Order: sequence, then structure tokens, then C-alpha cells
Amino acid sequence: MEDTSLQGVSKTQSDTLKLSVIVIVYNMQRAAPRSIQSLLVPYQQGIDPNDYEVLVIENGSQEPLQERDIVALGNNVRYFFVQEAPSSPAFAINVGVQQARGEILAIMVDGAHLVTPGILAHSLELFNTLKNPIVLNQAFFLGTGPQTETIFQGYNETQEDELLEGIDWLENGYRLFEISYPYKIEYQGKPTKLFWFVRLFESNCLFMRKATFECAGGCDERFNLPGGGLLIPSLYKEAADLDDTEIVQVLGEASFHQLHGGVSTNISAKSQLEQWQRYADQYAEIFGRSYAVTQKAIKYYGHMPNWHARQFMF
Amino acid sequence: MKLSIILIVHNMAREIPRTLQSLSRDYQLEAVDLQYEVLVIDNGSDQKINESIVNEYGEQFHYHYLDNPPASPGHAINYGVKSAKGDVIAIMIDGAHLLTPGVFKFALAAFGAFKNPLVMTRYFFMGNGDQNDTVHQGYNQAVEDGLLAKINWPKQGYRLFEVGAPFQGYMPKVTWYNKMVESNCLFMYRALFEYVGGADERFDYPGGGFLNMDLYKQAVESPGVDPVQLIGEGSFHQLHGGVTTNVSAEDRDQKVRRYGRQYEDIRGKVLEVSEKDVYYLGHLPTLQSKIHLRNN
Repeated sequence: MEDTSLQGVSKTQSDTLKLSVIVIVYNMQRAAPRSIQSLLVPYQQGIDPNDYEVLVIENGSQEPLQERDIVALGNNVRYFFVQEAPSSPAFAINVGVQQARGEILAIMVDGAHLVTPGILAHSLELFNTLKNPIVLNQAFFLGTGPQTETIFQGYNETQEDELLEGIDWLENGYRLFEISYPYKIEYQGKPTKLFWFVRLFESNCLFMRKATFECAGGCDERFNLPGGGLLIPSLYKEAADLDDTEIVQVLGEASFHQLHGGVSTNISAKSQLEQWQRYADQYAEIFGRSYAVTQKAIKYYGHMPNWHARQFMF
Repeated sequence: MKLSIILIVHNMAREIPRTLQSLSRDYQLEAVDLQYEVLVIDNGSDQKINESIVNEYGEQFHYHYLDNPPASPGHAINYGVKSAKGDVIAIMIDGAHLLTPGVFKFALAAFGAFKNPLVMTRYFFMGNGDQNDTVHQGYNQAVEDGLLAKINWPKQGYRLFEVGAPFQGYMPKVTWYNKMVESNCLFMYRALFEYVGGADERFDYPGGGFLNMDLYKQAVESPGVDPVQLIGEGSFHQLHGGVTTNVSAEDRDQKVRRYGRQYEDIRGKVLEVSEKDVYYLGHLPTLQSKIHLRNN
């Protein structure tokens, strides 16, 4: 076990909440404040801030967020700095879960993602009606295409800031669909007409009960590659394959990736493929079998907030 | 009691047993312990159905025959709801519709997720297109029986998607996301039905005209109500000589215009699609249930 200690709010509070959102950040001074803001009321709709908390887990960044500024964003924000953090976010997520007071967890392994205004309320609704749901939300790139391509065509942080200002995103969260591009619009070389229905193998805003997270073995810290490799696909698979869980993919809500030099999102498509192979190899080594996405039946739940979200059906 | 299905029937002796089968405990998923009832309201058929046929599907099936009722089903619906014991009611204005096996399960899930949902089941025709068209191309009850035999119905309910087509009308393409304006299996709390004053019996045309759309519209515009459309579940219309569904497109359009005028007379405005944000809930149980992939 590595010598790792926590700095920041360390008092464990005992009262229970409905939800803990765990946001892992790493050198994201520009992107993370927006992500965190998008998780808070009044931007988030249909949820009481007293019912949930946002745990920001700084994974040993060289350029960390200012704790004071971050907790000032909302009364329900807590900030933790992981000292001497491993380069994989697995440990940081487990730290977040240990601190979490929520019965339900929302795990955001990449804190550079902004979310739409109904993502928390809608994802939580499933927990009222299903016994043990695993809830996945789709992910988009900000910009006109996959950031793995657009960064080579001049897309940069300034452009991204302008895009976000242009839609006045804090006031019009669903307009994020206007300035973004789905992670998986291309399917076997052709644009997919199935976008919202495509089977996901991971999510950057993944909900499950805390008890289910524990049943699934938590985050497996053997996934020690920077960024985590197949850490989240593996967590999802372990949870999805439990007998009593049901998989739900949310329609019309999503997370949106801001540029930040991420390990696998902001590199070229070719390097991304090579990287996937390394990830898959590690998975095979850990589990003694190749990675395969769960084949459990998917349920769909949500809405189509505007035409831009709806167009991915046609 | 959790759920009451109000099934309106009129001269549907051939279609009723299959509809009832699709509402039975062993066909609907996770209905083994469900507290529900099916009220078959016979809106004055020329010949009564033998009650024993209805009771055959379970003790929760009840037959009510209305003698000499109004031609519109409005009264029959209100009668049904008055007799119903469920907190949630599902109104099936056209008893010739078969359901897929997950309709109860997903509709009731919406009642867990929302405070006051209005749940709509998408409308399909048996056969490969709108029956208004296909009947002129040789589609008939014998063909329909053959289709149901081919998919081994009721053993595999979701195979209905292989032998049915989503109601298209004049829409260029139908997907699960198209906004619906009515449903042949419409779920709501009984309290909501009462809040809107029930089915408006002033819609007095045979078949009801815009009665069903009006009921939907009144309910969806009520405060705090969230419309929910089911994905991957449907109601499938069997051929039975219905008032608008099994006539020529020309006849239908003429009737629809008349219905529209009646709506305007009653509500003082043209019927418009609700602007409310629609929610979706469901799954895609089979390849053929992916209706957005069809070239309609």
C-alpha cells in the first residue's frame, strides 16, 4: 500500500444523503470549476441541494484547484487532496466513496466533463422505481468533432471558452448539444442512426448504489495505468453483471468533455487505438480473460430536451 | 388495488380473446403478484360476449355489458372508471389492440419515477403498414391470423414487432421519439382522470371522434403531469372494421375533419400537440423493435 494521506476536510460526517457525486480532478484549474458548477443548483434542476453532495477529489495535481474557491461554489461541495497519489484514479475514487455520505454514488472519473441540467434528477428517478439500477449517461466532446481530431485542426481552449460563452451555457445547459459531438457517432465507419440507443461500456457519469459499488468490489486499484485504463469499464461490468442489477441508459442528458490534455481523450485517434490495446492487455492480465462488454438487457429512460439532442436519432 | 385496465369493446368477438390473453397474468411480465383487474366494458355489441370467455383469463377479468349505450365510447369509459378499484387506470378505447408483454411493467415503472405521469403506449397496426392502406392490398383477418401463428404468439409477445408496423399517418418516418397525441393504452392515476372530469361525453361520434385525444390533452396539460412514452412496447391493432382505422384513407380524412370541427366547437380552439417535454422509458427487446431503422 502506498503511503497516501488525505489533506482537507477529513471529519467523517454520519448523516446520510441521497447522493454523493464523486468528481476526480487532475491538473484541471481551467475545466474543473465549470464542471463543478454544472453539478450544483441552480444550474441543476429538480434536485434539492440538501439531498446531495459533490466530492471533489484532487488526485495529487501539481497545479491543484484552490480549495477555498471550490467549496465557495456551493454549501454541498467538499474538497479532498490526495497526497502522493497513484497515477490511476482508482484509489482517488475509493477515497471519495469512503467519504461519501450518499446512499447513491455518481462517479465522474474525468472531472473535465460538464453535465446537462437534468442529469442528477433524472438519473436519481430511476432509483425510485427500480431496485438496483446502474445508470449510464452518454458523453460528448465539446467542439465540432472528436477532440482526438479537432485539436489537430486548431481547436483549443480559447475556442472552447468562446463556444461556451456563445450559448450562455449556465443559463441554457441543454444548448450544450449544439456545440458538441458525440463520443461514438461513427460506427463501423458510418454515422450511427442509433446514437442514443448504442450500448455503452462505460460512462463518465455513472450512478449506482454505494452498496452495489461495494458488492462489485469497488474500484480495482490494480488498474494502475495513468487515467485508469479499463478501470471504469471494469467497474461497470462487475456491477452490471451482479444478479440483481438493471442497466439504464439515460436519454437526453449527457456529460461534455472540455479540453484538458486528458490521457486518452485528447490524443490522436491512432494513439488512442494503441492505448486501448494496452488497456485491454492489462485487463486480460488482471482477470485472466479478455474484456467484453456486459450483454445484459438495457433499459432507456429520459427525454429529448431539444432538436439538437433529437437529431442523433436520424 | 394497483391497476385497473378499462377495455372498451364493440362487436369484436374475434379480437377479444387475443386482447385478453395479452392482458393476462402469464403474458404480462412481472405480473404474477400484481394487484390488477381488467374491466371489459362492452359498449352495446349486437351480440353479447359469453362471460365465461372473459373469465377464462383469470378471476381479475370482469365483463360489463352496456345496454343501448351512446355510440361514442365516452360514457363506457366513464362507467368503467367508476367501477374500477385501481389507483392507476389504463384506458384502452379500442379493445382490438394486443399488447406487448412489458407494457404493465414499464408503465408502472413510470409511476415509481414520476409523481403524476401520463403514460402512452405507441400504436401499431398488425400487418406491414397502416391498415387503411393494407386492406386495399389484400390484408385481411385470415392474413392476420396467419401472421400471429407464424410468430407463435402469444408465446413470444415481442415478436409482434416482426408482424406489425407503427401507425404512420402522414409522418415521413416514425421513431420511438415521435410525439404522440393519443394512445390506445393510456395510463394515469385515477385522481388525474377525475381531475380532468373524465372522458367528455360531448364527443358523441361513433368511435368517439377526438375523444381520446381530448382526454390525453386535458390530462397532459394539467399541472404537475409528466407525459411518458414507452420505448420498445406497443399496442397492436387487429383488423376489425373500426370507425376510422379500417376505412379508406379518403373516408378517414373526411371523418377526421369532422372530428376536428367538433373539437373546436367543444374546446373553442383547434387541437394542438402539447408543448410539454416528453419523457421516454423502455428498452429495445428485439432487433425488429428498433423501428427507427425501418425504411418507412
